[in-house]
Amino acid sequence: MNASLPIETRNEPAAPPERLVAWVDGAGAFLLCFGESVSVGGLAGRADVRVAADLAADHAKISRSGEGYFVEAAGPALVASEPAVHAGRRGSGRVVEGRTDLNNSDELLLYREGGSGVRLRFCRPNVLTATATLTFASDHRTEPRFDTVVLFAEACVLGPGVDAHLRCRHWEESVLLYLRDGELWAKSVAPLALTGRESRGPIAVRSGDYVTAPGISFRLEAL
Amino acid sequence: MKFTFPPESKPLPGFTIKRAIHRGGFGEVYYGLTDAGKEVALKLLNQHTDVELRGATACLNLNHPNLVTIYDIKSDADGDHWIVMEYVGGKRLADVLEDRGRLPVEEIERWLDGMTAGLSFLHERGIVHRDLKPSNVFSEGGVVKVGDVGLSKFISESRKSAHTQSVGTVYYMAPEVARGRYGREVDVYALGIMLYEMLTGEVPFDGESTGEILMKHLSSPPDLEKLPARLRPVIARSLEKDPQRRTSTVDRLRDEFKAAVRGRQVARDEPHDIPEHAFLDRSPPAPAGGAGVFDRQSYADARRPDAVRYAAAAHTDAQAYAQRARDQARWQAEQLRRRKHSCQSRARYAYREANRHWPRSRPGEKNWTPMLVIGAVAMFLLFTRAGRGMMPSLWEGAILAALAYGVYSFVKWMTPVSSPAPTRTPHNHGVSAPSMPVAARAVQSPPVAPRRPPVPTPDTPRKIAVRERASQLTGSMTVAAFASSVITAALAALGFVKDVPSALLFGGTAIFGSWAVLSAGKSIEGTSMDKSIRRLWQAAVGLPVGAAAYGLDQFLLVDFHPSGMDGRYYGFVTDVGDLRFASSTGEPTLAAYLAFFGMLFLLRRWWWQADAYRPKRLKVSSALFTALLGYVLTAIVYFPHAWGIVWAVVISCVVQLAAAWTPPEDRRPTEQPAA
Repeated sequence: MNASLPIETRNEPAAPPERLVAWVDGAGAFLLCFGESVSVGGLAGRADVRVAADLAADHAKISRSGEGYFVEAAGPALVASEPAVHAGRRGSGRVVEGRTDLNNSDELLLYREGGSGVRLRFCRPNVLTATATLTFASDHRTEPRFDTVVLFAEACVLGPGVDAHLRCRHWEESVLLYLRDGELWAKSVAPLALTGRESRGPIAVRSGDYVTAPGISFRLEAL
Repeated sequence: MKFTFPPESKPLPGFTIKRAIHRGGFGEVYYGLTDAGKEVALKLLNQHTDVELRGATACLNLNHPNLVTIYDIKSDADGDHWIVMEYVGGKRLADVLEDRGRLPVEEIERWLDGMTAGLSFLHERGIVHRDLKPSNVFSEGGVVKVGDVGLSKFISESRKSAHTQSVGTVYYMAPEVARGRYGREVDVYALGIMLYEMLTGEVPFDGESTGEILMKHLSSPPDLEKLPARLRPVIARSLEKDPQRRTSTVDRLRDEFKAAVRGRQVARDEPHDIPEHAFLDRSPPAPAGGAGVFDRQSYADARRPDAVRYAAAAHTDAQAYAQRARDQARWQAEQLRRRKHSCQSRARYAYREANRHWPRSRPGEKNWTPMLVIGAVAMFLLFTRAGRGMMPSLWEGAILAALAYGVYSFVKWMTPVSSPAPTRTPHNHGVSAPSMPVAARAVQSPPVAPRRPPVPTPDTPRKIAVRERASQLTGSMTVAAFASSVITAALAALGFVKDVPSALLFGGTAIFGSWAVLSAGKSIEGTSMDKSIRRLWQAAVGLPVGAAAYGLDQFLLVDFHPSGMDGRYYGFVTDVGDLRFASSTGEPTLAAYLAFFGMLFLLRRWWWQADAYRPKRLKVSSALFTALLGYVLTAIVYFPHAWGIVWAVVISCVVQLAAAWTPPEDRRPTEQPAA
């Protein structure tokens, strides 16, 4: 009678895999990366984030260090700050040499000589967590396709607000994904249900779970 | 938003649903993968199946790089129909407009080129899209694609349809669609609307209801003043009400747009039908001998020979404009006559007539609400017995309103303006189709004006820190006390409050009342509390105000009759059961105070006057409505009527003057639900 058990009593705690995909209905597909660093490269390589673009196999690596982030690049790369991007002066960005700090709203340009390059926007929309996001500012896509790459620190907000890491514009409430004792949990003001079973509090979620609430639905899948 | 199929469902053999994309009028759309891993969009038809299937079937074998390709039509085990389509993962034009507002002309041209190519391909094959809108246009890998071609309809059978209610989106819907006409001009019109939106960041015909928007499509000229002068004739032609006068093809619209941008003249094989009223009112005075139709200054500024020729052509055309304007007026009159005599359109006509006289408060439109209120009060005063008795209080109210305005400018500078909560700057990227790998190729584009999202209102939920609330409330209460004191002193100086006890009662109650409104409003500001709960909350804080006023009254022993203001009573409800509103000496009892202030606070949307996101810092109509409510309450409840009215209007004015106010441009943008 497992179906009648409260969700909180699911035994066999499961640490999240290195990467999970959140398929969010009406919003997009989001890659959650739980490691301290994320590599970005072309399709030929085995990078965490493979981009359909003319890039080296492991073109760049973005790492978290405490509360901050830095990027190291094996190929040509620039980091442009938001004011420079806003003024159309992306080309005047800092050349990535060694460890180069990444700040909120920076734009990371990965390219090869003669190519148009891949522009990734680095954001930290919520100051309460070190979790950051990478989105494409150029017309490129990952393989498989993800709308946003999440560099998951302690917690990640899915919701309608501008402070959400994953914008789900039609949602009325936010959902917080967070790590507790090595497990991934979800909680929300809305009553969350796991594969149809409603819960009154936080729920432990793992790959294959389909989380729903009024107006909210997403599925987690290991990559 | 609830969807029928969860992820990993396999309603069709060979396809796995990964997530839902959206749900529209015609069904649900899912993102799926074939067994081999190809991305597809799966559209489940749960309504209008015949229409959709017919359209999709017609487009099944159409292939064009600027159209979203339909791969197949399938049925599942339950007999439901699915359309298997190309999945386009790029941004929709609707998202781009939402994020960035106006677009640079170069980027508009890129979207326009793609849309025109796709639409022209359809039109050449006798198919009209009929549902062209920004949420149906995508850009991926620099290629613009028009989606939802499945809604398309053959021109040859487009004269009448039983499915008009499902066709198109109201903001982009051509006027003739209301009459069941779906020529290719429908797409030209929608494209014209989208060009207008890309240029200005807003649609030309907006409203608070579908009916209002449709009426504007049918009868209102677009406001061309927001457009660059050179583009006004182009957009005006594309938005002609009469499809026969509209720009004939999407290609022509594209050519005219580009020519206008570059200051060239397009060879014209037909007269241009520019509504004269769209230009005449806003053009600078015409020089002697000039027709004065086009924006002369911009043409004078254009120094290129092409532009000069274009301007000259405009002058040549000018003499025909008067005739065209008459034709336009005749056409509109004819349309109006047809609508009047059409059974189907009769309700629409009636709605428009009603709508024409309905109070408006939109920018640029006449707001008749205060005048209606004043008129109603004046009629009541003039033609009713009770009204004649209350006439003096109206003068007092008017003087008070003028007084409030007088102190407004003085108080304004010391009123705390709510600083906008820290918001992230929108990522406005003013670079179109960038090529940016090295510094030498960096291109500076003109900055893009941010799109102006819907202005947040007091009903817009938002987060406000407790400290911020406390800070704003403290400042507001200080200003409220000051403003109430000033107004009371002014009333005393003018002789409306004759003695110190009356002044203390009046001023003290005004302060309590305004503090109560400010506190109640600030405590729930930014929350999504239900309106009825808000009102009850207000009433709950109104009762202590009434009790405090009664306590002051008893402590100061105010005698209302010689107090300066009319102290008479007109309320016919003197008791409710055992609850008496009049004491044995004719003075208002505690119950009367509680009833008056409780109802005053219950029946008015006070939070709209106290919220930092209210439309204006001081809205006179709000004060007048509050005065009217005070008038009505004192006409019902036994309470000194002049005092009731003046308290109502003073509390309203003081609250608005004192409450923190965030100018609309500093407000946090509204979160729009996805289409």
